Amino acid sequence: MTSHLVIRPSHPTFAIVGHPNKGKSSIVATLAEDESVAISPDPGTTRIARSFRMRIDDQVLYELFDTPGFQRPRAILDWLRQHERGADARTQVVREFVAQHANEDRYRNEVELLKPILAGAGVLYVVDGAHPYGAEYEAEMEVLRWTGQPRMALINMIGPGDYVEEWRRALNQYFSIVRIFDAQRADFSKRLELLRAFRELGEGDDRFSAALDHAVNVLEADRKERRRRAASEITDLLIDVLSWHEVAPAPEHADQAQLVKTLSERLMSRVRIREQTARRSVQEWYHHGALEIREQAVDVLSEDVFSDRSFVVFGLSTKQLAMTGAATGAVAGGVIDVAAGGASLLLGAGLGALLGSMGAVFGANRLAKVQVFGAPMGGMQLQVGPITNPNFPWVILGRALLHHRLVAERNHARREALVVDAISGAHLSDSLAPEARKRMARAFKRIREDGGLSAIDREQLCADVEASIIVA
Amino acid sequence: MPDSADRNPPLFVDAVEIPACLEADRGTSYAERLHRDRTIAASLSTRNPLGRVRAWHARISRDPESISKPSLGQRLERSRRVIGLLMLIVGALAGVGVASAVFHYDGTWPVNVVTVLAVLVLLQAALVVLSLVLMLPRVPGIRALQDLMGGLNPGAFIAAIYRRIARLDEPRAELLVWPAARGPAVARFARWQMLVWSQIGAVAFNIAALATAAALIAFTDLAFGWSTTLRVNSDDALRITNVLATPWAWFWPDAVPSAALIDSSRFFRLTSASPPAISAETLTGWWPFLLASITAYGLAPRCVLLVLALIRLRAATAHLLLDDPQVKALLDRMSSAEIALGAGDAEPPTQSPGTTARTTPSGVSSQAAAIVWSSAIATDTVNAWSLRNLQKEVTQAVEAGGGRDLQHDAAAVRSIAGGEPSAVLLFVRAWEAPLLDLQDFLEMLRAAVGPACSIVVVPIGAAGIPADEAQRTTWARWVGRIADPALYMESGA
Repeated sequence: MTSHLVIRPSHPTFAIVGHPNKGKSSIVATLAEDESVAISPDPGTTRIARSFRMRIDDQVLYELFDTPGFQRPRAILDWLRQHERGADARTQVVREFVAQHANEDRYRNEVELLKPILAGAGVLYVVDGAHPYGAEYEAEMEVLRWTGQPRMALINMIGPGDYVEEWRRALNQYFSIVRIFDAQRADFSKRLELLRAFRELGEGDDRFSAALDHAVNVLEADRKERRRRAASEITDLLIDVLSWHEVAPAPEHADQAQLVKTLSERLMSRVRIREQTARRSVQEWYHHGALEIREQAVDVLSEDVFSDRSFVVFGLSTKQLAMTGAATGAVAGGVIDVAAGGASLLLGAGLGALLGSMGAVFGANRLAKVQVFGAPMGGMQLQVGPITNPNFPWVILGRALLHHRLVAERNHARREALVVDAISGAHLSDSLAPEARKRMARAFKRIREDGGLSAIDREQLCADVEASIIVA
Repeated sequence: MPDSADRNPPLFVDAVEIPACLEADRGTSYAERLHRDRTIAASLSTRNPLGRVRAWHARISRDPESISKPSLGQRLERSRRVIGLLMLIVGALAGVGVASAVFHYDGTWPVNVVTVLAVLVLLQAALVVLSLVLMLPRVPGIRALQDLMGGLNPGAFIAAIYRRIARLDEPRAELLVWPAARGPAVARFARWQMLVWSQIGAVAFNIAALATAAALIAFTDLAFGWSTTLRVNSDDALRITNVLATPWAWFWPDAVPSAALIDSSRFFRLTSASPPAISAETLTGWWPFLLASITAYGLAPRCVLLVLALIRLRAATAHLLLDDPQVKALLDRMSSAEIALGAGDAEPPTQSPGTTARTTPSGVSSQAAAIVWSSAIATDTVNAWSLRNLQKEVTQAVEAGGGRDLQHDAAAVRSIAGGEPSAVLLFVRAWEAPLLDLQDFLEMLRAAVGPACSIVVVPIGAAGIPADEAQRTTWARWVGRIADPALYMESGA
């Protein structure tokens, strides 16, 4: 006979249980940021209880169990009632049921879902608040009550209907805590809110609450860390694509126009691949590695980086370009004024601003610089790049910011393709503070001139990109 | 296990290969990289970033499966050495040639001390100043001069030629040619590398020039004098030589020309004869001064510049490695906590959805008994719904499932079977997943009504609306999976 000992796991543990197809796996996928969790409309997709541990290095902060749905709750309840020996022995009767049917295929689902509960896991019972309540749920709720473990009901919303109130009335009969959690649409803050709510299942255990508080703090810090990493990746993407050029020998009788075209295509291909690499990295940090395969469905983001539409959607407007170019030119002109000790009556800055804005506006239609120069050992070489179009870095930045936002906000329970709101993604660079935009424009200029940035300048650009991620 | 890079390849090789390794490593998932790098970091005792990165590479390189090892670093390292050797040879040959020219003596006119000083001291001092300008940070104002001098620098020139001859076409080979180098870290490395090569050449030049001069002095009878068109008298010359001799005058007084020597060794070619008034021994009195001058103003500054350039080159190489974004990311991973949220094991393969349900054959009776499962529809509306959507009249309707117990289900089955129907409609909630509980009920029903009776599962939406397509698909698959040849599905849609 199994002992009556109350089992206390070393860390908070929760079993997510319920009827099949009510979003148990979606809730796990969302909380565990695991896009590999199988989510399917066909019942029986989850066949064994799977453990999802939140670990920081080797320390487990909490553990979730995704369990198969109840299949024969009335038969179990029937068995339990037949073996009842009083309210104080109900948990023990459930243990006996599991022990007796552990090797039977008939009750495999029930045994799988009851095991973690009997091992001390808190119960998170999931129902669908978008569809009507039914009395058939009462058997499984009663079985869960027999386990004697702390229980919370989560009303998930699968569809447009709203039967939350009738569910609440029923659930309140069996659960002390009832919360609504839309697994498909829950953002990061909602996830944290739910984790904090799990503390209520600790029944006053301080270690339980402390572990969950620690988990919340770790997740918040990790979120910031991901944002910092993404900013760093976007910064390096900008540095790479703005500094690259392509060179090839240009014999005297070669078709230079064709050579320019070939080199331009090679350069653009490198840019496209680099952008994809940056996106993959960002998706990996947010645990959305598999999102790429559905990217064909992504409207604006799958648009070619060099397309007119990308430039219209993500680039700066002519006026903004002129203003940013003027600011950059004014700084260059200011150097002349300083050198002249003010004797130029700030004409340097004024002239620089004028030339900068004109260059920015009129250069907007040209993609890259083309140069022909002598090779060290004789002969001529043709160089295409770096890409000098003033709008180009803003297009790259805008696309990267939109991609980051979509990935960061994306819920891991969702399996359909990303839906991109092109308008909300347009001109993300607009949201930058003017000072930051000018600083970034200067950094872009320096990258093109020097082929990169010093460590200090890179840090500054990275900080500006991170600020724009927060704003975007 | 030593953390230091004692047995590691040269720093430069690591600076080329580690970023390349990390770039190739991007194919590995971030979680795997984080775990691996955290594990390696935990075993390292050094806190120095350079040491950590190099130790990481030494550890990872031992596992040939983990990362491919590019050999570009070794090729470029070999190229650096070859270029350094070429600079040494070119410098030495130039030193021999120049010294042979300026110390040339055919027994007619003495070696002109002014020429020796101009070529081996003044010109060298000017070149040292230009080297110092190249060593300054790249600030507006002197940038154009630095670019010009970088293009003319023999180190850059020989490196460009070598790159062409050795067919070092890889973009990374820009590290060896300063004018081609792009990016602050790369350009800084290339600049100091160029300066190291040029200082190697210059040191070799001065050593060769000194050796040639010493050999000529030792093995031939050189005579020295001084001659210039400028209005310089002996007193001026004495002042100049005294100033030049300041560095060594205190420990080598014999290398400071005396007034008598200066006065007596001036010559004018207009006289059409070599200086006759002094002895040949006196005429050789200049050589200690000249050798000391070449050493103090040629060799010594170049040695100092070479040491400085080597120190700065090492720092630039370290920056080349540590400023690389991939290396920064590696250090980041090595110091980040490993946060895992997902499952520790892989998702087991899911069952195949199976085939879809059969539709009711046309021969099935237009009358049927009905079972409402889990209150899918109000019993008093079953007949009307069935007539409207399925064109079947319901002769008897019972309820089962839901909140009722199993004994009630058994009674419902007995009631239906008692009427010996040719067809039974089983109304179910379309939005609910079909459970084994229902399957048990179906098996019980089949046993009671016999194999000839058609059982039609009818999924029905909330408030009696027909099931939507997704719901129909789910139920059709479930019905299709049950091995019952007389089990069908209809939805009325």
